[in-house]
Amino acid sequence: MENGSKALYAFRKFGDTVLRVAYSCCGCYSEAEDITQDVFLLLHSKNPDFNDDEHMKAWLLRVTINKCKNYKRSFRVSHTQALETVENSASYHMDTSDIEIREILSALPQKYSAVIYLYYYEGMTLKEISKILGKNVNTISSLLRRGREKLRLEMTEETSTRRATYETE
Amino acid sequence: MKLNDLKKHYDKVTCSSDFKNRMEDLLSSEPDGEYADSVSHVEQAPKFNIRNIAAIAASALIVLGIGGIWFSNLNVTPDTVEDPAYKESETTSYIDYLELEPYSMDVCIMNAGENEVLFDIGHLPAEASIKIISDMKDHSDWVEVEGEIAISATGSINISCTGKNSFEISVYKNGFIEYNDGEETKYYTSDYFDYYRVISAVAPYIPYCSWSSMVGNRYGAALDEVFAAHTNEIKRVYTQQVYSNNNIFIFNNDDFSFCIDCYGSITVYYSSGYGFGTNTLYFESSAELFKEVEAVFVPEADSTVEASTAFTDASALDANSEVKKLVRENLNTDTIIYVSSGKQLSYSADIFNVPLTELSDFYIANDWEKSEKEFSYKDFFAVGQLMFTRSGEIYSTNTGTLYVMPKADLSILSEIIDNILLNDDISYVKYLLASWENRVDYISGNSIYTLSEDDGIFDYECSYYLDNLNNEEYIYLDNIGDPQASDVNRDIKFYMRNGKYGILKYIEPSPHPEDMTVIEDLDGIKRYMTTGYAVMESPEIELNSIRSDILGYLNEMNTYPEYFDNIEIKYVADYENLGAGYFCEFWYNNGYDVPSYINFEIDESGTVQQFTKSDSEYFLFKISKDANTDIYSMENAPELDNELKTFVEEGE
Repeated sequence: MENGSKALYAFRKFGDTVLRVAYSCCGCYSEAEDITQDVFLLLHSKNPDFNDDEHMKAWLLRVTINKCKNYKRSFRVSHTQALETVENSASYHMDTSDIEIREILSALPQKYSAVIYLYYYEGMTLKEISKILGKNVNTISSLLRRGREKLRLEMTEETSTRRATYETE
Repeated sequence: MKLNDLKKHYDKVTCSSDFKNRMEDLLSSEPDGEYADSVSHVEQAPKFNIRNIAAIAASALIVLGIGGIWFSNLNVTPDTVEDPAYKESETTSYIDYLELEPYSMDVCIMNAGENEVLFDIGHLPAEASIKIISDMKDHSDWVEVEGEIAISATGSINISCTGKNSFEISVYKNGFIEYNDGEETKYYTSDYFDYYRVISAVAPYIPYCSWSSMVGNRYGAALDEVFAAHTNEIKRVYTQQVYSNNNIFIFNNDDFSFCIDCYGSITVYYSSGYGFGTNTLYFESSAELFKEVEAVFVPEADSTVEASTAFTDASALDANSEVKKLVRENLNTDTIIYVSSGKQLSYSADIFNVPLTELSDFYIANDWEKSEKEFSYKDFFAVGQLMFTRSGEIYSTNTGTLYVMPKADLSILSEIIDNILLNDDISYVKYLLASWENRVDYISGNSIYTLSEDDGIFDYECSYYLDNLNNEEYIYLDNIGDPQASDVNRDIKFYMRNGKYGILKYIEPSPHPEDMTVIEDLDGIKRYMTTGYAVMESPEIELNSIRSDILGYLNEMNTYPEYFDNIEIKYVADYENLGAGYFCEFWYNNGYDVPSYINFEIDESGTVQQFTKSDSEYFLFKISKDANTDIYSMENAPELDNELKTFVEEGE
């Protein structure tokens, strides 16, 4: 497979997946697009060999999550666009619920959000996630447990806040 | 909001048409040499130029507060400087830049290795920046370091400055200062200006947290009240201090600990959910606050006696007094850990409503002696910083002291432990056990049964694992129910049954038998059960010794040609006690940007017994410390398959 066509194939097949992983980690659509772009350009440039699509997907997920880590630390994050611009640039219409979820996700530490996404959305096993993230299975289990506790706490607080707002109104 | 909402939200996240078109164009063309980050939707970093660099470097000094004298002694304008190096910032007074460049400063303390934020201090107020500058402006000994810099195995404090010229500075624990303006990275060293000095400067701006949000209402509300009343008395210092002999450990959970030192200060170790053990927010506080916090955790204690004891040098206490203190400080917690013999199985389980009073009374009533023996780390229980066995030993992980009670009736102790762990009120677990036991006859081979329920957000489940081969059975209960919801007021975390006893946490029974299902996937839970490792920290001294040995191994391992070329060890991530030896985990960068990690098991003599490169799942071999020529001899190392070779050798 030609280098360009491989990256193109990968993007067409896993573009949304990579975007969602990045989004789950950073909680921001525009940042997720940037990271997705970086990941596929890296694939385009490095042109690694893969045994099959699953191997390719694993590579993409690992690179994406690591780019998210670097991205969160990068000073580029501090230059992100205003919220309204980001929301308008997303590929979907964000209703109130979506905005709340996005805020919750962005508040969740990345190490939890990545595990939660891979486990609950991608349906991966702890073992698979451990390979993707390069962590011990027990560590993944612990992260998942803590992550969903934090997520539940965030959701509960969000709900309470909403109720309080309604009552005030 | 439920989990389904989250999934629906993810469903909506897809690549936009514009983005798809842009990516198709980019990926259809030939790759343009070496990859470089391409960024959209964010403001591009300012281009490199002399003026910017001069201003940036000067501002870096401003932020870090070390530029004053140096700048003021120089008389060069930025435009006359040729090289964009550190010294080119010797152009004007930092005061000028301070006025010209009103930088917005955000500070966070980073964890070693994973680039995770430990404390997000956030935006510094203007007065804070000025204070930092005034505190440090008399020191300007930065020296630029040439070449590749190893900044591994260390945490850092990160200062992001946003203004006309944006840049970022990271001050690492190992003494290097990294400067990055988005275009290039430079490294410096400074004798005066180090991580801890910067940390101390910004520590007062670490935001206060709500104890209720961190520890729950059980203690949190009272703590919030106490701290609010003493705000003016609390001096906060970020320190590397970890448990010391002088600290009296009074409470802990996964995220934080309260310690009281012998001088009456309260030390709060908390991790904000990003790790634990080396990150300390140190509260230097008054004796009054100390007593009030103590009363929150030990309301029944005689605060006068406790306070006077706490101010005493711990080393002066006799064995009975030390055990008494250990018991009072640790057996009032909610967390108990059991480690079974030889299997390296250990699982934490909170015990609610299971009183430890009987055990405490028994310990306090008996005479104790200090023992010179080493604690065996086999078949023991741990509560807080105390470990105990059925054979009448108590081990303080805080001081590394083993106590024994040679005259005690151990049958009484064993009975007390059984009473605690198999409490008659544990009706829910008894129901589960009875239900499962009735079905054991129908089980052939290893099996798992799972009880599932949906609390509205996530599915929770508990599992029963029958290991017919070893004639053992385990029950794993994970987050059953929501303890904060009144209608499902139950919470069982883990129950492990190993012949005669088990450990559990529960609140109220609520069996939901209709939810019981049988699942086929045995590997996950079995692996968890059989390969889990201890969660307790090893004594600090031994850890340091092991750390030193391991780092030596790793340095030599870098020279091993076949598998370790171009591997850069980045940092030591984790240590865990592992039965008779130690479990160590190292993260490294294999020359590519996908980090991997290595696990080691080390026996008591410090010899590396097993090495696991964990991203290549079954890549195991033994390393012999005594081999002469090849320091590491491989045994039973399987051939790498293609996928493994790709990961190991190419890092992809």
